[in-house]
Amino acid sequence: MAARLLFPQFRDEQSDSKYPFVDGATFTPRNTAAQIDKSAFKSFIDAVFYPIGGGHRLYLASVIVDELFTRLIVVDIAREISISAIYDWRNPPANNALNFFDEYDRPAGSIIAEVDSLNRFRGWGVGRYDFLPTATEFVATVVIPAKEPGVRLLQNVDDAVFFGDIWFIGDAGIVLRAATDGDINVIRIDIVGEPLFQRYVCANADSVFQPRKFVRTINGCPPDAYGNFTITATEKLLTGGTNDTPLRVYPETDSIFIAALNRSTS
Amino acid sequence: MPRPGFYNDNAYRAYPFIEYSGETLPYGLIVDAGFIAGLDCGFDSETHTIWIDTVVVTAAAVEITFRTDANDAPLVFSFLRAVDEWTTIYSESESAADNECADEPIWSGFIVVGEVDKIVTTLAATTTFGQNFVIEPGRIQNLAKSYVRSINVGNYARLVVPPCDDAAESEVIDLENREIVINATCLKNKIRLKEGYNCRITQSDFVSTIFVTAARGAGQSFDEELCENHGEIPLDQNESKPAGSLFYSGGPACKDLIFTINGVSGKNVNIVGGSNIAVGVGAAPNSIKISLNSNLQGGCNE
Repeated sequence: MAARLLFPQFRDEQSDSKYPFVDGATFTPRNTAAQIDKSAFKSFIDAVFYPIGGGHRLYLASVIVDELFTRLIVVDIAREISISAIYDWRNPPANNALNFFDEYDRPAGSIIAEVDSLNRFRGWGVGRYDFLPTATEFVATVVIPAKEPGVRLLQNVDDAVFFGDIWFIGDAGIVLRAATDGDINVIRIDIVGEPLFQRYVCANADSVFQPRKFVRTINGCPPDAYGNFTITATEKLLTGGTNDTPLRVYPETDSIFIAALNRSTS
Repeated sequence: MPRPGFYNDNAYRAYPFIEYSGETLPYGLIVDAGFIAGLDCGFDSETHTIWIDTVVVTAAAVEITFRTDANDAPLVFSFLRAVDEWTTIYSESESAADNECADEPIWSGFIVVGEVDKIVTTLAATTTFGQNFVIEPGRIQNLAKSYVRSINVGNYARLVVPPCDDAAESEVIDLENREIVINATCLKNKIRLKEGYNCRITQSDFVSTIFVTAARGAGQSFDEELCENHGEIPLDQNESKPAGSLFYSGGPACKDLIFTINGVSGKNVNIVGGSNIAVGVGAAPNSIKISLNSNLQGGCNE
């Protein structure tokens, strides 16, 4: 058992030290008039931060206390990175890990702290408590530089965010094609319209689209070069045709009249 | 008085595991560890954990397997029993088999081992620990949602007019479940957006924003490619035009349509039976029957 005394468990050892804050952390809020129980920080056991975009010299910038939740905001020294965690005293985190996320809800790290410690924030009273880096800076070892090169996120005008393997899909007259130019992947965007686009849009409300059919031939015969189809009463234009027929075909405003007489045309 | 180092401390306590009371996993076998849950791991820091699953000891080697409830892929560390104390060993899992764009491990990690050869003598040939020994959450980096890995390019299948000689009803197309014609997958590294026909692309480096707009005549000037395809662009190299049509979207050209009958136009042209002629619907589909009226022999006149 002597070994146990000499080597206390990690959580026991760290819960009584300033770690993961730097040794010089004062825990004094920016508004020095605010009376806070600084022991709330003492039971912080460990931390790990890996905010997208990197950042260095992270510190706890704000603690916002309301009736149900305590929100912790961690920023970097340049205040370019901001991540936050929300502690709900009614639902303490598993394994004492309070998880941080960035503004796009991406995982950004964790603070491991005793629940009792986190509950002490409620004793500060409802309000916002801001800190300077000198008060609550974290040790550098708990900050992991996140993967920096390349695009980390795409966002559209509706603020929807995309990550991982993303699809660019052309639709309704926009055609996307990939090619290469040396070692560069080129995505060409052609906007050529689509012949059925307008009806596609109109039909979209019904989620279905039924293309129309047009008359192209009558009895297998196409129109002439001007799109006119001629119905004649005689065959006189054909080889061996005759003019002798009682049929009459004549057009009117929007009709074709076909009649048969009791006499021929000749 | 010299103080023990970090690894010395950990050789006599549970770290990097959350404190445990069991004796089956001896202190000091692993004195430090770190894990990275990758994009395909599905790791949720709120609910998932990582634990040591099995230790397999042979005469010369040791194999330690870690698992996570976020993914089925194991993470296996293999090393010799005679490895030096405080050696760091790295391991990577397999890549996601169901994602062709994934070329990095589902998850990876390192462990720092203690006096392995001495410690494993207390273990059976194979020891399974269940989920009793969970890694400290502070030793896990979760890369979920953390970067754009690849770009895939495709187009929704175009709407196609059925062939005109199709006597059946027109096909009904479900716009919500259209096929995607894949053009390219898993584009990585340097990617450039290029203006095609009627396309204008501008970017603002200051706010990291790319604007893509349609503007007549912008971008690539009209060339023979567009004319050869009658204003359409094939969605892939294998796309073919429907039989009897000049267009990828099918259907007739203007010159193929009947616009007038005997010079009569309009959205509806009536064929009217005059004297002694009856006009009706034919027996065959889409047919008009024109026949002599029974009164023909009655001597009707014009």
